[in-house]
Amino acid sequence: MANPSVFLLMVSGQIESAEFPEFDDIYCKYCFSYGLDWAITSGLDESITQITKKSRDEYQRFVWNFPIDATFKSTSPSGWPQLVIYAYGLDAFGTDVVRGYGVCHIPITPGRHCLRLPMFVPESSSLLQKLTAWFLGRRPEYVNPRVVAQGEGREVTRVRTQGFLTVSFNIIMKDMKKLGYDILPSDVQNPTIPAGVAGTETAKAS
Amino acid sequence: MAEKRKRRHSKEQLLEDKEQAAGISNPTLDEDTETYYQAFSQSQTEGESSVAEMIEENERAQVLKGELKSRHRRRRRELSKLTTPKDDVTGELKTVKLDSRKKLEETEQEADELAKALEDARVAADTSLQATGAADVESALPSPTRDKEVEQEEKETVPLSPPHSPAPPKTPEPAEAVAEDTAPPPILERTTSKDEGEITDRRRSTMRERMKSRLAKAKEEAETEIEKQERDERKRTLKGKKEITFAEMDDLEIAKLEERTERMRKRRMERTKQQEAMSYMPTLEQSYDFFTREWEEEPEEAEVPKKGDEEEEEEEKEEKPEAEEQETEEERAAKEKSKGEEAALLVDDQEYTEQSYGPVAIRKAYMDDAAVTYSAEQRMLFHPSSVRASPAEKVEGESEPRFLEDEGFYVGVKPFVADKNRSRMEDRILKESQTVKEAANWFGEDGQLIVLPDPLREAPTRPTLVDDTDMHAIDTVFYKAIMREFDSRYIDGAVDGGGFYQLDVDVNSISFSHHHLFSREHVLAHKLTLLQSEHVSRAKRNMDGFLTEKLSALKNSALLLHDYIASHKGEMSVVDRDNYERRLRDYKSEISQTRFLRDKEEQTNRTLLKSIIHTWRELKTLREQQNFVNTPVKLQIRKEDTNKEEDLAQWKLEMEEETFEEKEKFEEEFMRKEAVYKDQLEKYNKQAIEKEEAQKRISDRNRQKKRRGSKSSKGSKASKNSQERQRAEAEDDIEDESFEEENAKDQAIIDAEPLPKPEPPEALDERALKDQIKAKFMAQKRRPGEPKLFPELSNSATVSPSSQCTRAEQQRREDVSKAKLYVKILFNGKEVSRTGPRPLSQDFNVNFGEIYNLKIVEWPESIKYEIYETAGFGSGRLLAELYAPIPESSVTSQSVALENVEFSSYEKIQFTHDGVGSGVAFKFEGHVPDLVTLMTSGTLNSSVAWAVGDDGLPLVPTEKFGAGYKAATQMKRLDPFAAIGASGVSNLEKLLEWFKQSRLDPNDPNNKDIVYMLSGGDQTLLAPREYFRLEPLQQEFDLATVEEIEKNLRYKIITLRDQENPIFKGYQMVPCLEREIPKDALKEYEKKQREETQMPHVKGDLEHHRAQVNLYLQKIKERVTAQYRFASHQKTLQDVVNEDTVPNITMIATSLLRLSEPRRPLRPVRKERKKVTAQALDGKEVKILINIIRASYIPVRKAVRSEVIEKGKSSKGVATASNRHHSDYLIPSSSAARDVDGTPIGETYDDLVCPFVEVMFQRSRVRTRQGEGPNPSFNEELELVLKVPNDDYSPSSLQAIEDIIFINLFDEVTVDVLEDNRERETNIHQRIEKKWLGSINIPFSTVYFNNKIDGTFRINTPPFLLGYTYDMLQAQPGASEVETTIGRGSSYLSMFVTIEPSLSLPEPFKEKLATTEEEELIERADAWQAELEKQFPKRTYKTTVMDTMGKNVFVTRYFRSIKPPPEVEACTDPQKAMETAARYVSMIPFVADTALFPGQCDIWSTCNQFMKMLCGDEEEHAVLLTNYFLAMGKTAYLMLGNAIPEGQTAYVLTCDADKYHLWNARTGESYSVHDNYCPIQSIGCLINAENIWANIQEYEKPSQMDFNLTNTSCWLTFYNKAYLNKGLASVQPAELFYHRKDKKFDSMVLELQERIEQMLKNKIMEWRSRYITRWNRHCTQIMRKLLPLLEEIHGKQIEQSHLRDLEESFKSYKVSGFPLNLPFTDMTSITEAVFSTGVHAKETSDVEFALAVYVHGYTNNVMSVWVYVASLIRLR
Repeated sequence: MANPSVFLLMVSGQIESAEFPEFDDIYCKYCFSYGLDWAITSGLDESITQITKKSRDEYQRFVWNFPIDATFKSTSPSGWPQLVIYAYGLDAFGTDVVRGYGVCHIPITPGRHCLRLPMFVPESSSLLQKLTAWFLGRRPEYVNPRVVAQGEGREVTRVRTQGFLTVSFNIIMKDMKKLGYDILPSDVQNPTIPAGVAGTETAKAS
Repeated sequence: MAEKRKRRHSKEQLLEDKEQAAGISNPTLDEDTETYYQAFSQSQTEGESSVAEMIEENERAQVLKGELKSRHRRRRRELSKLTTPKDDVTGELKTVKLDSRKKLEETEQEADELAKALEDARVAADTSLQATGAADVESALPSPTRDKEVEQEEKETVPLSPPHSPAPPKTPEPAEAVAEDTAPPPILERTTSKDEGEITDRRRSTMRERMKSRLAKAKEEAETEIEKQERDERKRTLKGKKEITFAEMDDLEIAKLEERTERMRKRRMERTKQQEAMSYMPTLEQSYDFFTREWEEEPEEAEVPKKGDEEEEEEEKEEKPEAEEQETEEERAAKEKSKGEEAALLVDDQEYTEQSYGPVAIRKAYMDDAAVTYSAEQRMLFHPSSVRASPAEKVEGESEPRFLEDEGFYVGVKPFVADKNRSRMEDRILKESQTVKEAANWFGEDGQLIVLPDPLREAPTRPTLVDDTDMHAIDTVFYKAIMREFDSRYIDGAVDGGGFYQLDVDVNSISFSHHHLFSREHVLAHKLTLLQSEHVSRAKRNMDGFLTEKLSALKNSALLLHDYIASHKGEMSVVDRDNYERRLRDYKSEISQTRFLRDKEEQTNRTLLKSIIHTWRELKTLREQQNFVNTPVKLQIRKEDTNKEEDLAQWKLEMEEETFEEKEKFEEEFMRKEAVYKDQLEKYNKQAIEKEEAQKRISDRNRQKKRRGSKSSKGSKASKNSQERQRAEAEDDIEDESFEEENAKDQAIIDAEPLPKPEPPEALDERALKDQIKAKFMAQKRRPGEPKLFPELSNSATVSPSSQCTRAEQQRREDVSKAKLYVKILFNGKEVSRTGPRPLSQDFNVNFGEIYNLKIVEWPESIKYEIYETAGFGSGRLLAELYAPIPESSVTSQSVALENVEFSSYEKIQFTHDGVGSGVAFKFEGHVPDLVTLMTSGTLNSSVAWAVGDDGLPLVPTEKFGAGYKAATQMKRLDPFAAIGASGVSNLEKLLEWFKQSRLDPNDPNNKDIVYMLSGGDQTLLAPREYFRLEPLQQEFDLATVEEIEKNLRYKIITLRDQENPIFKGYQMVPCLEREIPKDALKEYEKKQREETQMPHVKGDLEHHRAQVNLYLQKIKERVTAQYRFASHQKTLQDVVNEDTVPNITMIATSLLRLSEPRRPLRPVRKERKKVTAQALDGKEVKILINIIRASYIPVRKAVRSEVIEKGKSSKGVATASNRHHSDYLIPSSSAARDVDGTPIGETYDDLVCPFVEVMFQRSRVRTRQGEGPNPSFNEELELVLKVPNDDYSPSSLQAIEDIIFINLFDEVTVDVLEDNRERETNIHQRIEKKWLGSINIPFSTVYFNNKIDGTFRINTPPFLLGYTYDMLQAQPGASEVETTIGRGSSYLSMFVTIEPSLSLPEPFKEKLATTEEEELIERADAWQAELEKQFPKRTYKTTVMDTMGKNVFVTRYFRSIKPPPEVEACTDPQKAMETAARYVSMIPFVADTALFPGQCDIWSTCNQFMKMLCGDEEEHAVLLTNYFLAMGKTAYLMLGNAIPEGQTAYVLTCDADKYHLWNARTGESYSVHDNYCPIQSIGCLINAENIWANIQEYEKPSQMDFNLTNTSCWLTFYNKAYLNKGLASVQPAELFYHRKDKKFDSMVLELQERIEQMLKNKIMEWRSRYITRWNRHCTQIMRKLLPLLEEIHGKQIEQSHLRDLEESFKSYKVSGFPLNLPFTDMTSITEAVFSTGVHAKETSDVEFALAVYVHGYTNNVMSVWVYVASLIRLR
């Protein structure tokens, strides 16, 4: 078997907008964090958006409408891809400062999804550090932004909320059903029964 | 038609403004343009033809103009009244039309009316006429509806509107329009025609034409009007909303169109002008008139003939309306008829248009025949009626509809549906039901359609979630926490419960029965008072009097009874007598009882009296003694004299009586005793008799028995009847038995205990009795004649003022007056109030008289008073605590009485003054000798009661209360477990009981189960379950058995991957389906498992050992990996978050200092590059950059002529260009090649050596250009591409790369291969050969971990290089010891190695490891290390290291003198021994920890582990060497520091007679600390078993350092005076086990040697597969001899004599070769090393090779492998 059978997950969408009260001039980076059974077949794994200013209306939104487009293939839903978004912005001294980390799983059902991610940043470990971080313009940030997509090591951090970010996804899947993963309500009604199990079922019945 | 259009056009022109204003003109673009176009073209053609006519008419018109104008004006005036906006008309029309369509009759009626109205309106004859005309024309149109419409229009023209159009009268637009401008001429004409009657034919014709045109125009107008209406209508009815936009659009269009028409008009006008100008020139006015009025009317000519019949028809129709007006009945028929005609007409029309306008076929939009459509629709479509159907129809079967709502059922609100729609629906259903018969299903009982209640809700069921607006609706609202305490201290369950409960505490007074400030007098007075009060109370009760009386009464009755019995003795029955006698006995006992009591009372009274008198006497004496009076107590005794005789008589009588009674009592007793005695005596006697009898009986029986025995023997003989005899015998037997029994009985009687002989009772001793009674009387009773005493106590005595008292008494009184008391009231242990301090009165009473109201929320558990006494200041001291009872709920403040509560204090107080104190013994000075101790005591007069509220109700909590009880009940009510315990729950009875007690609400659904259970529903619920189930439903979800799952290949792989098994770690895309998994996926893993569990089968001891080592390593690796894995998943904040450290003073200071530092542009410092992560590397190449700067002290070629050699002189010939190639000849030299004469070297520079550096890494090579001389400068940067397996640049895979960077130094030699010297001038034939001079091997890991390697390195040169020598000239004469080392064959290379881009390092292993060390030690170690690292961040300090068990071990434990191997011991020379030891250690293969273990962890294995594994890194080597040195009695230390090229490393420092040497344990070399070329760059610390010395000197290079370890300013020790070395036990073994070297070992070594040789030969041949490889055996032989020698001297410079052999033998060869020495690890490493030298790379066939291998086996399988490779080229 040269190529193992895979299912495909096609994600297109956009980083629509965000709310970061108190900040301005924000841009985002994003990356996908996924398990070992996943591979990206097309599209960008990582990217960076343009810098946006907040709107001058009452909402004060940051609008990017930055497209995300990636196709994954996978053999197992374990390690389902997650979108990790980290926003940066210029601070008063003109240095790039991280403004928030956010993460969400790629929706697991096909269709259009609009998600609102809370964005947060790690807190300084002490008040003094906070002060110096502010002075030096080097706020604490994650060594690896993918940390937010994992559970490991999170217990040592304390975070503070920064705002929200809206992402929309259009999800298309292929061959999920074929491989026996029922995700749609219609699928669930007619569940896929693996051959072996079906055999035993009938055996029991008879 | 064209004409019509034209007219219409003109009309439109005129109407422009109006239409625009009204905004209703809405022609479609196409239609209109078409129209205009036609009109235009026509005007052109017609204009030409009818000029003459026009002129004629013009003239006539002129005449009539004036008249016309006047008329026109008049009419206008009339019309102006009627004018209304056109849309009103259309709107109106629409509604009317609708109605008219349906109700034909109505229309007809209206038509009638219209007709009438028309007649009325004849005044405006022209208009109406025209209108009718229009109507006629209209009627010619296909649609009958239109016909009607027109009729309505007509109606509307009527000034007085018909009833159904209530709007103000309007004039229809066409009429008006005509009236305005264009109408006049036709009107004129008409009038003329009518008036005059007779006109010429032609004229008539023209007239007709005009009429026709007029009609046509009207028709057209009407048509457009209708069209418009229709369009509007359509729009409005279909899409109400869109109408506006349409209108808007239309407006625009209109505007556009109008503009266009305007343009057209202008153009046309111009044209006509031109034409006119051509024919004749009218006046301006004329022309104006002409253009404005006349030109429209003339274009008929072409149409006339064709329209003739039409005209007639029209004429007819013109009249028709009139007919219709009159005959409405006929109208329909007429219409019907007209329909057909119309159809024909229409066809005609079409034909006509088509024919008349040539090739351009302009069609009217195709339309279905509306009438046909309509009728067809009528047939097909069903229009349900909107009239409401009667309910009776809808309710089937039932006579009357039912109204559920009225009957009380709930009927939901039905959704709103318009009545009309509903009735339509109903109608439809009903109609349909006539065919289908299912109407009943649709209607409910109430005759309504069955409709579900309105499902819509008024209010949204959930708040609208708007993203942006703040959502107050779902905000979290803060509610204060409600305290609900189950301990139920609170009455209402909470602090702020609703109830209001109050306790009133009345603290009235305190009176002391003893107080420490009492004086003695007080004590006595108090005692007296007490006694007196007792006496008074007794007197009040008069107990003795009462008892005396009772006694006499009893006596009387007893006497009476006695008499009665005596008198009636005979008459009484036995029973009665008994009764009486018992009564008498009762009396008697009662009497004695009473008397006893009376006696007691009397005695008490008497003692009391006595003590009163006594106390009083004492008091008096005390007063006398102290000369003042302290208390107001005064006792007066009243005496009452008594008659002595009488008393005496009484006394005697009483005595008599008592005596008598006693006697009587005694007698009775005596009699009873007597009877008993008698009875006993009788029994006694009887027993004696019985015994005697029994004795007798026994003896009798015995005799009888004997007798019967003889009798029976006699009878047996004589007896006849045997039966009888038998019976007799049986009887005898029985008798015998009974005898036996009786005997036993009798015997028992005899044996019975003999009864004691009873004593007779004693007789009464009367005298003694009398004496006894008398004594009692004397003690208890008032003696006869003694006066009766009545003590009376009064407080009448005057207390002496203080001045009269003694000083002590004054003080006491002062104290008393100072003393104040107050009472604290504590409720449930909390102070709630306290009284004010009240003074203590001199008579020791305190009055409070205060009532305190306590509002309570908690259940009262205790009410406590605390009595405090103060001396006027301070809080005073606690005298006593006492508890008041918690009042019953019935006790209210109204009903409560004050109670005295006693208290006492145990405090000891003593005074110097007269106060007696408390708890202290004191003595009355008078006649009372004994000591008295009194405690302060007293009574508190107080009460506690529930308060009464304003409404007269007590403020008592309603429920039962009482502290403990309450708390318990409260708890029990809520929790059955608390109430009856866990076990009780399973006990039904208990539960029931609890249930009853707790009064649970049975209706509470929470209690449903219990109630159900207790009501006897299902007792099983109470039964305890017999099983326990964790997940009862688990089985349902088991899709497969556990075995099945575990057998699954995919599951296995995933599990292994998750466990980070090295084989499966990072395994990507585990196939989804099991069948897709490659079958051999687990093969490798299983193989490895097998390998781990069982030893692989290999031949040869050495391999076997290797395998074992591998196994062992694998185990350690696994353990460490597991630990590392665990640790790597434990993240710290630093691992996860990048955070700047807070700058401290030093940081700021250094950064400031940096500013002031001088700038040194000529000394650039390498900047730290940014690390690149593996992800960022994708697709990029990683390169190793090697910057070769220079080399120095490179050996030079020996260039000596053969003649010179033969002479044996040590001279070096001048190498010239001609003999250049001869310089390469192998020339034996017996002495150093140095030119003693100092021949200038400059000339021979080129000939000395031409070195270049070649770098080989992963079999790819790069080289520098050729340098010149022994000290070449290259300054070249070489690049090598790093090839990583699988392109995985992650740190974990990078650190596993074991490739070595070989940096080889070669000499490039050009060999002239030109055969024929004659050709020399023309040909050049040379071969370039490279000769290996030395190499540096740097493992990739070193570069990787150090990121860069920079410095000057010593090149590893072979012990001797054939054909090369060192140029001794460079060594400075008179140089120090250090410099001489250069001569020993050390070349140096300066270079810089790094990786581009800089790769990120694996995360260091930072986990704090478990340790078995003492906590204290570890703490100190950490602190010590941290302190040093802070000071010298770049130096290496170590206190603890990780052992193979993954534990932290204190580093000094690694040192212990270990006996070196036998080889070393064999050496006698200590220096030699040391070298041998170093040699031995260096021959143990080196493997970096990083290659073995994941992450940057450094594991120190112990020496025996190291020996076992036979591999290790610097630390292990150095530790072992140190331990050997220690065993050899040297002073040795392990040195940790940085060296090049290793980076962080470990060396050994030895101290021998103040000479310090550093040993590189890995290579076995030693350096003096003063050696400038010592690879050590910095020394961090020195360690041995005793201590750790940390370098705190300014310098860290060994040559700059002070090695005096006692100097504390240079070396900081770990153990010092403050912290002594406790002598930690070493982890090292006491000694290592060394295998004995035997024959087997030797053979093994030999075998290995042969194998290596064989392999290398094969390899070399393989490498040179292009050429023939010949082997020179002779050379090999010589070299074989040489190699053991080399081993012996440890690879040092060999003595020249040994080489001589070689040199001699190969005079005719040019030999180049060198020996290689390396420890044996495996074959590949040897091959690699040989390959890197490039000996094989002789690209010619006429070369011979010599290869000799020597393996020297040391103890414990440590092998030193020597490989001698040489190439020989025969000289010609």
